[in-house]
Amino acid sequence: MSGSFHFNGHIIKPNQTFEADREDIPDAFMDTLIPLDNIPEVVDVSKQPAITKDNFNLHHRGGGWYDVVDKDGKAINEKAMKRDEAQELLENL
Amino acid sequence: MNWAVPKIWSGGDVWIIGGGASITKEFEIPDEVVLDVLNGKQPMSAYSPYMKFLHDKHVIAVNAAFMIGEWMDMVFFGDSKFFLKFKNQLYTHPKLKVSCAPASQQCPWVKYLSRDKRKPRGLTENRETVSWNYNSGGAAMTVAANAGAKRIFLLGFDMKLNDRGDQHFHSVYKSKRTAANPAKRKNLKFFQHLKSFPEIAQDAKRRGIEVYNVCPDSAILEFPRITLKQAIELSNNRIKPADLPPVEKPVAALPTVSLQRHTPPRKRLTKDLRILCFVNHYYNPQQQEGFTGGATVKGNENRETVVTQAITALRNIPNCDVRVCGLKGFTIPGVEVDIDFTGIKPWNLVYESLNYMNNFTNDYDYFINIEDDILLKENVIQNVIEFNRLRSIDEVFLPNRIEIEKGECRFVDLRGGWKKDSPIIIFKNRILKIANNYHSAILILSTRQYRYAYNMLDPNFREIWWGGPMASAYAYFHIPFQLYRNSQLTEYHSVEHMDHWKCYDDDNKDYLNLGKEKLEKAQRVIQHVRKRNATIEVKIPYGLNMDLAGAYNHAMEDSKTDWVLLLDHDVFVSCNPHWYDMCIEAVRTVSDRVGLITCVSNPRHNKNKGSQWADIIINSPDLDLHVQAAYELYQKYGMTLRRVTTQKVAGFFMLVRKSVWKDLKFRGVGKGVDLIDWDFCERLLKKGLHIYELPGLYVYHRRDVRKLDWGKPILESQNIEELPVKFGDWIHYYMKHQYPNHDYNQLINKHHVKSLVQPVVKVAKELAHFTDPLQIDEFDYSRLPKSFVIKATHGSHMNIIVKDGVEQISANQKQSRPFNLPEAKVKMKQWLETRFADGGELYYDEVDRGVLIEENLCKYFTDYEREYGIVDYKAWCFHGQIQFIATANYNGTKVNYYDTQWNELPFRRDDRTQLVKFPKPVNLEQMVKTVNRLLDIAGNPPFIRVDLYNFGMDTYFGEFTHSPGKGDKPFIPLDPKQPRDWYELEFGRAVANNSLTVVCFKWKHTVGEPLPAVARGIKYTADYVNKLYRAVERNLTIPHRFVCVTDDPEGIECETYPLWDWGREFGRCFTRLKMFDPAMRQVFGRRVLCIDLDTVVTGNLDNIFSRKEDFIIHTYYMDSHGYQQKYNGSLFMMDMGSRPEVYTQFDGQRSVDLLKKLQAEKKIIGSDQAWINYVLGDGEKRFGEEDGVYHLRNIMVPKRTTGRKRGDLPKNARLVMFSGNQDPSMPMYSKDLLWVQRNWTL
Repeated sequence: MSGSFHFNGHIIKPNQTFEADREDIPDAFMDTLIPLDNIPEVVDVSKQPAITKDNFNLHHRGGGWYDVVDKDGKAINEKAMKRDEAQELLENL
Repeated sequence: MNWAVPKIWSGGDVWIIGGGASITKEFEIPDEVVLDVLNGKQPMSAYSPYMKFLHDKHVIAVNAAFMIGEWMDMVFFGDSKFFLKFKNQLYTHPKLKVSCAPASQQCPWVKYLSRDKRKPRGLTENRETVSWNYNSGGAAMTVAANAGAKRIFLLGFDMKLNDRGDQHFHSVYKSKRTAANPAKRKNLKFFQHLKSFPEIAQDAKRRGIEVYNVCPDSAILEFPRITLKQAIELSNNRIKPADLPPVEKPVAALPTVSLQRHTPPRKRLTKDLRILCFVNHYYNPQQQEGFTGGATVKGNENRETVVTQAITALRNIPNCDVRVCGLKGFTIPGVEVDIDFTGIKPWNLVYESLNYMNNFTNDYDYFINIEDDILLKENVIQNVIEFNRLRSIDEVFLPNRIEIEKGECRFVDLRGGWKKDSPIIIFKNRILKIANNYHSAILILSTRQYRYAYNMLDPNFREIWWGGPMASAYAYFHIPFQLYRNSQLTEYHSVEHMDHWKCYDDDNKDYLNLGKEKLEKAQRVIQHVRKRNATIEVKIPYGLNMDLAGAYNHAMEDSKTDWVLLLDHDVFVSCNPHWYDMCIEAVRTVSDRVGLITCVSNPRHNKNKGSQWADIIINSPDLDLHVQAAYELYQKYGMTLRRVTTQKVAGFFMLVRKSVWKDLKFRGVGKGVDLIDWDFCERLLKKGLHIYELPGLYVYHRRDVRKLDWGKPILESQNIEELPVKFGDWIHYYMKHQYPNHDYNQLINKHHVKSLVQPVVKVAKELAHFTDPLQIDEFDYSRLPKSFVIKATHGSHMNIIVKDGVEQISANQKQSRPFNLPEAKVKMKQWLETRFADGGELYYDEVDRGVLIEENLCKYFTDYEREYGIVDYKAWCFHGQIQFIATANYNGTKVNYYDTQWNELPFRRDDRTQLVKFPKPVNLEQMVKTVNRLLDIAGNPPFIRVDLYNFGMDTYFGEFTHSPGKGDKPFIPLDPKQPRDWYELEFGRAVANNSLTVVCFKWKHTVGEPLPAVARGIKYTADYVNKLYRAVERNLTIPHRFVCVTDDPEGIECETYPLWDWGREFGRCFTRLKMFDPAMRQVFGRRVLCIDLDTVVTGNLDNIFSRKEDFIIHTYYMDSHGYQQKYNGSLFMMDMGSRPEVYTQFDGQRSVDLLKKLQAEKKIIGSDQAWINYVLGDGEKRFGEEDGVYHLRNIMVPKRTTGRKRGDLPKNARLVMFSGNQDPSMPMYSKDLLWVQRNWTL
């Protein structure tokens, strides 16, 4: 491949050994590099479905008032809500 | 769709954690832990135990701060680069991820809030947006505010480096290196970030939100800066805001970077900053000239002590050049005059010395002018420098003059009270207001401010108008400024008057009540200067649902200044950086009879159309050329004004006097702007008023600048170019980016193209062709027939149509005049000089300029054309396919859209045309064939329009058009219920369909004979697809789709398409032959690459997948069985429909039986690949090892010639095909071969 591989402001010369994270190497240069360690592959998570709301639950404070809490029981809301409202917030996370 | 911030924190406290290094100090995190984190030895979560207080609070983590712990409620980031770098870590974080980074917009697990374009700074109240504030921290404050926060505590909002030079409390951005490198420090954007906080503070105050900056040393000065301890007590309601003790470190250290252009950082005060200080000293106890210069109250006996003390204090200020100004012979003993003003009236000494400073503006950064009994300390100068850094040029932070008498501190300047309706500034937790008194016996200005004042003032002004002569001089020099003072009666920012001002005596209480006469005089002086300080409002007239004249009037009505500059949106005023100063100077200079001032600009084609055209002609959009022109004209004419006697002044730059406008107003006349501005100027001149122009002020009026698309998100500064989506945007795109391997010159040049298309279609006979002005003069025009057409070869709208010796000068041919040859020659020569690419269609630069004369096609007219006029047939074609045919009458006022069967189509373009029915051409089928052949000639580009004329059975070529209407007229559906951009998107997709589609197949339910590997027990799962998909994504940078054709889409990450039934009953891979069905082009686009699931991608695929042949297939490498097979079906790429016979000749079971027979004869092997080989023969292009495409079998054999061992991956390998009964999942490969381990993975 022609062109120079610039990395962290330096040109990487042929046969030079250097340390880099996989995601810092442009794909176009990957085939010009010989990894000395196993390369952890980058997973494109940006197309993964949302899972945030799975981390939250409704918690009944009493009297029909609810919090939306995380797995440690910390409420994400300041004031308690009615169930519908809490459910809507949960869906919206 | 945007998310909307839910009101989850109504009335609560929200803590926002930024990235500043102060966090570790505030939370008292031990140095060894901090160093470990900064050096990457410990994760950021090592800080978490020290931040326990926050664990049960509502916390927003800004950017990388989320890595501290999972107890944060929300992560906010605004930077696309951050998202792209940390998306994996963000994904696994269990809490809300909220962002305004454009790159995250499509990410399903990010709650996207767009950036509020109407309110980019401050705190927007639109919960679906954020005020970006040009930094993620500022944007996060918007989220907190919209979530209902009552109090916001900012942590790590340092906006500066700490003492160690750390920018962040972590090192994940590797910012340490940047911060450590002085050359790179200028890239840090603290100053840009700081700009937004004043507006945030204003909005927060308005909305009743308290904001505390928990970083006492922060460079953000708009919020109370408190310690963490104080913040905790506030949060726990143990103290009230009013109980907050003053912050212990009131002087904020300046950010140490990126401020050089605005004001020097603090250290420059002692090192680099150059200060000139003039001390005005006069001592004349004999009262010569009636002016003693003596002390007012304390008596002359103390003068020596006072003056010496004042001068000594000034000389102690580092880097301050102190000069004593006075008259020789009139000094206190021991004081030497450095600058002698002998010969002037001594009471004018301050006026003189203030003016004299102007000689030193090139040598100093700051100027101090002070009376000789004022004690000035360094911290006052420091405050002024800091204030100037944050405020505008016309704002001054004037120290209060105090007098200390018997232990009592008197604020002598404040006795006059505060200005009514004074604006209030919070500066370093102090409230600053404007006092009525202009005088403080001192002036401290930056060089910029001094020049600003000096240019506005009259250097000969010497009047006593404000108190005494000294006070008048200081007050006069301060008139151009807003004079802010510390409004709290504290000694903060004060100078000590070591004398006693007599005004403070009881009988001088009303020293500012100058008396009616003096007061009127003072007002006159101030107004005089303020008038010189003219300001101009610059407006680009626009009003929703307003016509142009209405918008102009609205802009004028809305203005508050005497002069208003009305600009068009496509004017580049800043070609001359002095443009505003020139305008100011002009409005100050001109008489009251001048009602309008304008500039000069680049002439348009018709130079005689108006005035305002510069002597310099530039027909180029290159801004540098226009800047150069502006410079040359400025050098030539400077600030001179020239009277204009014509009303033909272009409306794109009009500096209008508001009082004149009030009389005349703009009137809505005509359609364009021309008549509105000309009408205004005409009435202005008739009224006896004048118009002037500035010949030295050149601006570039970029006509034809295309409409801006406000619908697109603004991209971060990344090298990502988003491909367009809509058809119009594609046209814009291809106006700048050319089709690859497309010969624009041959296809567009009206002369060249004739020879190109002549084998396919009739063309108008060429009568002459000129490329040189001499040829135009030398040609014998008497040889021409009575009817002919002259046209430029390199553009459109450059035509002369002559019929029977009469030139048809309007588009509808109703206006005509006798053909005028000399005029035509001038036009032709002008065309040769015309760069058509100036209109934005840059590919016209590829086209040879020329003029041709050809026969007028009117002689071929049938009765139809004679009765109804000639009809244009315009075939809109995408990737070699006719999408539709547009018909239009000659002048384009009547149109319609048909498919190739002549069915009317339900859309139109957004123009003023009328839809009418056009009769179906009798030779429509032939026309379609002609278009297809012309498309082949044109190379089947992503989009091209083929324009034809048709007379009876004869079709004539018109032209190839690449960017009709420059893409500015969108297609809109006739059905109002249909989304308005439906067809723009559809045709956009048609253009985009040029990208490669990578197709793989996975079927769950096997029918008939299974694949060899399946027969060996291999199960092709979704993982196979995902591994291949991810490998291709990693290694293919050219635009592409990746589609899996499957009957089992579960678990597959990429796009899927349902597997068809065709061919499945024959088992193995026969169903894949359906890909050769030309109809599949509708599904997969023009170019498709089919690849087997059991392929291992080992390198970049761009070169392999960019091969241009219309059909390429992998090589079948001979094995020990000696088959004569040439092709391997594991990989083939083709233009869809290029080998239809492979599909059409397949005759079900008969074909399968035939292959079995041939296989028995060892001629061919396999299923689909065998059939391809059988139908196509051996001559097709192939992928081979020279491309980097290997068969596993060849890798598993050592190669003695190169020394490659068994199983070693050849250096150029990019793809390894495991076809047959081998599979990468087998342990002998997946465990034993490192390259399989590394590359065949998720």
